[in-house]
Amino acid sequence: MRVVWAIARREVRSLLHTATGWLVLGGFLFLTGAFWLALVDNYLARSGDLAYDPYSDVRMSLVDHLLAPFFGNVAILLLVVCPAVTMRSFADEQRLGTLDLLATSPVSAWQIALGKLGGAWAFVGLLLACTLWMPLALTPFGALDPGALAGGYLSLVLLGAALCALGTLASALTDQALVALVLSFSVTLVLWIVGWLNPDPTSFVSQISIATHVGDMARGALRASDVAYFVLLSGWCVVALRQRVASWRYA
Amino acid sequence: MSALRKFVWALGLIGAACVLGFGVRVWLLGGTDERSLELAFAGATLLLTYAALDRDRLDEAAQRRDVRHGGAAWLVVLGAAVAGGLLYAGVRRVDDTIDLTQGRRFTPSAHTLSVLDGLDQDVQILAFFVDGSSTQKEFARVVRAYTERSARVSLTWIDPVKEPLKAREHQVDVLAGEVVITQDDRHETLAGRFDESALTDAIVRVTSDTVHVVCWTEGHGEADPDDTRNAAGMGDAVLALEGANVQVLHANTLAGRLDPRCEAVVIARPTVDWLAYERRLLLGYLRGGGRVLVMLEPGVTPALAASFASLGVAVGDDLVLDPSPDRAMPGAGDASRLLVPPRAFDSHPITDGLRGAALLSVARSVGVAENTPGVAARVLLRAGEQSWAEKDLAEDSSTYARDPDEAQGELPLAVASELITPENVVVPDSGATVGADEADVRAAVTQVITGALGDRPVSDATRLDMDLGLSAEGIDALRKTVGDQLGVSVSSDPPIDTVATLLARATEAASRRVSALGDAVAVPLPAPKAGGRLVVFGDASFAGNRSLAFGSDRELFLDSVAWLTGEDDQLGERPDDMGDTLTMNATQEGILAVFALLLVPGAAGALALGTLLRRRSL
Repeated sequence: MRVVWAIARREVRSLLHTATGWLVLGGFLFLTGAFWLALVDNYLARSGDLAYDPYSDVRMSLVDHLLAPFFGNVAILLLVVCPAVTMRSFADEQRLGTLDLLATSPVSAWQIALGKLGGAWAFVGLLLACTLWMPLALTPFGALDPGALAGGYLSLVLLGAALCALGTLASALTDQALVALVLSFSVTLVLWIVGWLNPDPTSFVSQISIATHVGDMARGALRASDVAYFVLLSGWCVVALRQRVASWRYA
Repeated sequence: MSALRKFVWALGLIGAACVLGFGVRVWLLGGTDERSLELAFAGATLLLTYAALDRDRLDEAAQRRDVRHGGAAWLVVLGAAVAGGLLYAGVRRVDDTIDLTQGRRFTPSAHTLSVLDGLDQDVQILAFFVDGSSTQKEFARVVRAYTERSARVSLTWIDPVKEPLKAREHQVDVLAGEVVITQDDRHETLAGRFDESALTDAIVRVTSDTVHVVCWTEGHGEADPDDTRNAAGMGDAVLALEGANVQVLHANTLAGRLDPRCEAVVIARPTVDWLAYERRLLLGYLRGGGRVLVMLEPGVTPALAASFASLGVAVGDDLVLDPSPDRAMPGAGDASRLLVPPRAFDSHPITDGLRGAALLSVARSVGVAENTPGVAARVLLRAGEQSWAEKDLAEDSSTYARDPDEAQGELPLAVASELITPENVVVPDSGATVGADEADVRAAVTQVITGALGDRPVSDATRLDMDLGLSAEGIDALRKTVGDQLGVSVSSDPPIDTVATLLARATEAASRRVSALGDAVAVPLPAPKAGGRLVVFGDASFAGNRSLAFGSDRELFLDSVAWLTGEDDQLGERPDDMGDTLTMNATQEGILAVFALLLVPGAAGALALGTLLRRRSL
């Protein structure tokens, strides 16, 4: 575990020791801030309009009209951010020739896979933690549901884990960071939109779609199948990644 | 030939694409068709051709070390995918949900569960939504609990764009989405709102055998059942009733009779006391098996309040105050606002399913009357241990203090009573004829005028224009208000200028109406019949537009009516769909914008710049 932690820490440090890492963080925070502000503004405007419309049967809910759309927007941002964060994790090692050092080092393939993934996941966790102030800043002005808030962030953390796992796997399949970025983004995008083919939430395509499993959790409903989806998807990626790392040793 | 071998991989690629296309087609269509079989055949042929032409290289590749090891790796990855898929399928079969939300938004409300469990007929839900639309996703979330809970509920998704004939068959022509709930040949349509409350109400409407008729009395300054705009109105409560398959009719008892369609009568916050013959009518209706919900504010309608004693309900002429901090409304600091938590609800079908607190503002005590045989009366909710019944209502509210003769501790605030031996109900003979009530009419009109003029000191001689400073429009509005509350038309010819004129004119109109209905007043009362039900609350504000959204206030009102109309499977906490508020001014929003767009991302940008400069200086 200590080795995994060391590798993960090194990954995070390498991201934060470059301007790119901070720029990703700044860009992510700017976009999430803009989304948040737009949603708050829209919520206030619609609430104001409805106050003067006694015949409207629309009920404004902070969860449905503010938190859930916010988490949805952040989730879509993660589709881009996670591949960007993970694209260099193995691709650069291959391109720069440091992969041999890694492959011949006295650490297991599992440790390498988990360490690299853990580092990327920790960085994404840092990004998400930096957005926490936004909903908390609204608590003096409205009663935000802490359960829905917790569920929303849990959904993003689990989604981040799955996307980082897919991204790290893509990075291990090529020595070009850009190819890894495109590959992992394409796969995650397909996994996101495939649910649109059949609206029935019990259909096969909906079940393999990422979007299906984010929706309810972002509102505070922790469904066993949703958690299992992300855990199993991440787990499968780790297994595949481990096989890939191991293949470098006997290649 | 060498050129052919060089590009033979393209055959393999096209073959694989054809096989993949076959798989996708089968998956999307749910079966095979001629085109997909053609694809499969073409793909297989191309793959076999590729394998035959490039067999040497394939053989050579298969012998490579990394491929031999890689093959095992692929098997591991494939095995992990299969194991993951199986594990996921297993979890799906159980698929429990932990509801993290405060309001238990993802747990069907007790009301919904009660309705679903009570279904004895199959209900079909036809959901007309454009595939992939946000409203469809919202509804999918809501309806899932229904199909999982009850085998009697079936769901069919229909895209009105793809299946316009089906949409036309059900007269669905909007792309915003509609839901049709059908049961045999009855159907209900939902449009615009697809939340749990709307869906459950629609199921109730479509499965309920009858539309219940509730009569809302007027003519005594009652709360307006059509007013959804003002805090004091009860339009929201009536809308909620209508959503639960209840039709609300206006009933003016000044006419001396009740519409025979009335299954229950609601008396909401009367400010003018009922005339003797009206009280006789009401008690006779109850004795004949009728159902009545009464919501009384303190200090008004003493005769009406006293008339329920023989039905097991003792209405106190007092004001319940509760200074204990755990019963105080946060931020209110007012002992007359009574927060009643669920633990203070006594057991009764009306209160058993409620989970939230009730808020009553300025309430009087309502307890179980002693020595009322043949009546099963039970308290519904109580104030806190430190509460007392203040009797001196004229006293300055800031100096209220408990006197030794005033009742104290867990004072009852509402009672539900059921008549087992209706013969015991005392129905007065007085007031059987109209003529004896002339004085009552004048007293009632006086109360209405006094109420309409608010706190202003008035006498018969008070001039409306000079002493009270009312404009001509103000005087006319006052005339109409008084007329509306009495249920009569007050003439404005010659013009009204003093309170005395208004009183005389309104009394004359009311008396004329009562006299004209003299025959009706003398109509014999129904024969005694067991099963009459009465619910009396010592407060009416909880059902007003302002309070209805609070805690269990709406449920208290709806469950009372459901119990009265015998719809026991509609009792229980309903989903909270009253909405949330967010109160921010422009400055606060501006500060949020500065932090969200400038300070927080700017800090990360500054760190990026710092990192760049530091690395350059190395």
